[in-house]
Amino acid sequence: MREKDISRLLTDEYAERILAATQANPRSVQDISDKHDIPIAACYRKIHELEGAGFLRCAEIVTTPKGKTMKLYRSLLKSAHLVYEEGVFRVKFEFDYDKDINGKWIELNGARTA
Amino acid sequence: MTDILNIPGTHWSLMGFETVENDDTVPPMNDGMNPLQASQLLTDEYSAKILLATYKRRISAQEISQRYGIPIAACYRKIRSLEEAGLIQCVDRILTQKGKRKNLYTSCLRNAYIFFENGRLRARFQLATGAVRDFGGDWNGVDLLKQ
Repeated sequence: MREKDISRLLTDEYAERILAATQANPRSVQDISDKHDIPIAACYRKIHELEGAGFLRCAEIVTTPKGKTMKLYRSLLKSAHLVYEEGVFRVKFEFDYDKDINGKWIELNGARTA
Repeated sequence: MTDILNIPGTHWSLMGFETVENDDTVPPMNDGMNPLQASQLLTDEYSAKILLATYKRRISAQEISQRYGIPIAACYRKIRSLEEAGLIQCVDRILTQKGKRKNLYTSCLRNAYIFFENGRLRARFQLATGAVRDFGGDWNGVDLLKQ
């Protein structure tokens, strides 16, 4: 996924709530959906999108008393910075694990490329 | 918004584009936005393109639409929401050769910072007038240049 798509994903209403909800502890999709008022299907879809982008990881698989297995997700994103200066957009991400773009400023595009 | 260009030493502001004079008629910024709405103004594809198109330039909606491949209706709609948010403004209404009025827009946004840290999103906009708008919490003591 391209960096600009990543920054757009971050400012998606549901994605932002999911990332905030999974910062501290691993949470289940059902739990996030209930507590943060996200429709369950959208919640699954966004979580898969975020997982694909490397923002979320399934930290644990638990079995409920009813015998159903449930995945718990945790956020891998520590911080994200988007800066617009002098007509240029730059982003920087920091993750909990080794990732090639960790802590690097990435220039998206400037007015000059228009 | 399609190319990542990284030309070391090339500074946009040195490339001879006209500068926009500050004036006092900038519309007030919509303070009713939350940090998410504020940051969406920057990460939305069309809005970002419009902000770049109007950076240190006066340009019409029609021209933005053609040059940046934004459907004309969406272009007008986004321009309107950016204008309401105080990020761009109409600086002139010129007459075209056909006698039609055409609004020229220019960006009021100089710098913007959107930070997601500790599960919290916040945004800061610095306008050409020097005014600063913060969304979602405290920016005091944040050294932006060190980031």
